[in-house]
Amino acid sequence: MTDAVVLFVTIAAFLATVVFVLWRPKGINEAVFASVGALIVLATGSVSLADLGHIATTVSGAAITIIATIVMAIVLESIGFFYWAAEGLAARARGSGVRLFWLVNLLCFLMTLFFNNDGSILITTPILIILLRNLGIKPHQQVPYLLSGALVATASSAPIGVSNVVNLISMRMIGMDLYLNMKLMFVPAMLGLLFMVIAIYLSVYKELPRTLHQSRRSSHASADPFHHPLKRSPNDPPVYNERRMIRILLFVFVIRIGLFAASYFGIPIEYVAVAGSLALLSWRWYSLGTPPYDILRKTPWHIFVFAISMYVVIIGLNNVGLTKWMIEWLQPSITASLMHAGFIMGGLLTAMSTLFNNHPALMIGTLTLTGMHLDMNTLHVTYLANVIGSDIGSLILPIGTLASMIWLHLLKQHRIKVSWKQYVRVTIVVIPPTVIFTLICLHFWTSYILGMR
Amino acid sequence: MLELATILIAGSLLYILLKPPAAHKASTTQHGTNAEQTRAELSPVERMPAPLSGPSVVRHDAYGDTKR
Repeated sequence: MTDAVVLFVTIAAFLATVVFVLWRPKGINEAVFASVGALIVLATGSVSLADLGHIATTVSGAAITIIATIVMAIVLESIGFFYWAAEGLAARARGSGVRLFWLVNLLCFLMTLFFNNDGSILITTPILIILLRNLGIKPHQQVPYLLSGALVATASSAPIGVSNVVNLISMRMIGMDLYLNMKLMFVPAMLGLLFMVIAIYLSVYKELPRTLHQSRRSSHASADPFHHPLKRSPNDPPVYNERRMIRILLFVFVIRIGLFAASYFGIPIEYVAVAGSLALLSWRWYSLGTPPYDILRKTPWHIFVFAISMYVVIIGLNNVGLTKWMIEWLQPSITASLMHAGFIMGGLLTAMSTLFNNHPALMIGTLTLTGMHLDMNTLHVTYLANVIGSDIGSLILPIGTLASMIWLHLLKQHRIKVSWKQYVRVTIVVIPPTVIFTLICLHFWTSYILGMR
Repeated sequence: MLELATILIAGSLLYILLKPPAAHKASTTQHGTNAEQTRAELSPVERMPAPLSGPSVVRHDAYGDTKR
């Protein structure tokens, strides 16, 4: 194939992939279109085997971390943690739907700090589903809680570098350490998060129930007149042993600390994640008699296929000159002023992440920045603008992040229907103003800290 | 150190947020198992053990009375 044909086919495959992923005719899963696009790009030869190996390594790191968190979530589910947490949250809401809204967002924020954005979605979504069902909240009133929780859980990975696997990889590429990342990003990202939660609250508050019913532990028993009171049904909440649960929670805590220690000593964190997951699965098999095969069934494989495929398509575009073209096109504006630089990169990453997922988008954005030979301060500020676009801006569409795709998958598993229309109705009014506000905060904060204009 | 501090603070706050308050816990878990608690909430008729033969489920007629 000539270079012109490779260029044409790669661009055409990219455009067709984006159109079909957004359109999803007949409700076909987006992973199908992404993988067809990736196969076409591979056939053109614009992505080499070496590139494919690099993509597999990058995505498999994220995939292993996600699968390890799925294992934790499944073990936590089997010991009744989700019911225990739902009860605690319901009690603290004290019958107020509005108080519950703020508690849900606080839970999702803290969970992202403790695990990461994907882990937070995997653990908080089942808790919220149980909580909302136990409180007898109507299906249409459940959506604001679930949606705001998902948006906050994903966006909360912006303030701290460790809360997102992609951010960590990109941060290393530009040579920024965690401390500097937090010093420059924590305040603007927290203000942005606050702005976002208030914006979500204003857009959904009419749908929130003002008062809540008392939490019902045995909703199945009370709903089903044929339910025998002394016979347990599979739908009954598990009976939890609080002491055993605390022990497992401590073990999860130790694994989390282990991940931190591994990264400190240069050991791949996947090793610790896999070892911890195997220990948890073995414990569950031994103590509860549940074999580990359900992990294969419960892992959303199609999301990983989507992530790898979009990576292939984007790396194909990169190899036919996308990054080079972006550097030539953007460099004059980026070097003009720090304000321009932040807004251009933040806006561009928002658009790219929304259309073809934030993993490849942040990679391309970071490669573009490193190719511009910027001074260190401008590089750091524009990189953080990239992260704002990638972590917050990407939330406009559900395909923007793997976390939001996992969220939709979990809702589907629990037979809760949230359409793209319902999702976008909130995000389209909340996310763009939040990105703009956060970029303004980033500009003023970094100008103050770094003493530059 | 920063990561460790974040994890410790977030983990502690999560535990405080999620742990059911003592008063609530006493009201929901003092009966031990879910089946026992459900049983305690039933009327004396419903609380009777199911007969060894015949239908083993509790039914309610149109007036809300319990039948077996």
